[in-house]
Amino acid sequence: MCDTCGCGDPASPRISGGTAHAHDHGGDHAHTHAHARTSISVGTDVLSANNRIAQSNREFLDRRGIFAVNVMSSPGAGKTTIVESLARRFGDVMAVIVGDVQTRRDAERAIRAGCRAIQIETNGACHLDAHSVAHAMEDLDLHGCKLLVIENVGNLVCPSTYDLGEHEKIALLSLPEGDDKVLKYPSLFHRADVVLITKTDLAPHMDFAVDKAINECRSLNRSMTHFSVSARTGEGMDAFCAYLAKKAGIGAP
Amino acid sequence: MLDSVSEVMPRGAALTEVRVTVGPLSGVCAESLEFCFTELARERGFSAARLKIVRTPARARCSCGVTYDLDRFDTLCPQCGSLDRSILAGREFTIDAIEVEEV
Repeated sequence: MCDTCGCGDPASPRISGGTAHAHDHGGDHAHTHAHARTSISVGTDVLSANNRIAQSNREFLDRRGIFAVNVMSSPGAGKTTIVESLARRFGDVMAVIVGDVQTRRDAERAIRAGCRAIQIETNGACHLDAHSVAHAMEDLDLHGCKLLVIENVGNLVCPSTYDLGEHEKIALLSLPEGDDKVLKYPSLFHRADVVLITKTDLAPHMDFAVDKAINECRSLNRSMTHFSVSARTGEGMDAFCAYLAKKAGIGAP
Repeated sequence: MLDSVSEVMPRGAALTEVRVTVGPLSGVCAESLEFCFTELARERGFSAARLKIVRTPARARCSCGVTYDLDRFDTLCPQCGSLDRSILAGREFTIDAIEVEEV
């Protein structure tokens, strides 16, 4: 195998084209000519580095029988409140990795609610990536854990393209955000396995047509599952928890 | 992206072009990519490199059976006007090839 570019290895980039030539530059003649240009086929997914680590994360979780979800939404849609509600129900079979630009507030809320949690402070990045999640999992005691909830940074754009190693993506949409939001952020709702409509207790004060929002979600992803919940009143939480419990292979809390 | 390019660069060569495919449903803004590329490439020592972006259409199969090209998520089926479909292609963000020059 060539040391320079690895040719001869079937997995390596292929070299093609080019105008390689050789001639003697000696003597006193002068001329200009183009240096040889060579095209090298690559064919790699740009996010492949993240995807490799994400796959490694997923295999790590599979070996331990842990079901992991990546929870995404705009800031303020209720991710942490839902996580607290899940923590009160699932307790020590649940663990949380939460990402924010700054503060450890959300991890502290999850711990107070009754489960183990670790905070990632991105200090600028607007989304979690597989690398930071891999490190967080190293520092989290996952003994006895069956459900890992990864609460992403509040952002409806960037998190959608970064696989963290989760088994399912959950997108939240809260009533105050409006029922016409889904097609404004198509990438995230297209990739969501579950859509959670949150803050349903505010329905009497909002003009939010759940069917309209769900139909738009389904237009982007025919196989998505949805739940409507209020963490405050508990409405819908039994069904959502039963779904997570079944995926995690445990009894409903 | 530049990490992947660095991995395949032959020793002693200068990078002259990076050809990428950006699908319209990839979440990548091609204009932002172009804007950032020149500066970031220069920081890596790839001062002669140009970015060439190949834009391919996305394809979807509608529930009515029709397969069609689209360039936005909210493009309706040309047959039945529905948004009920499976996305077949359009989420690509790949480095297709690089061009290098001997120095």
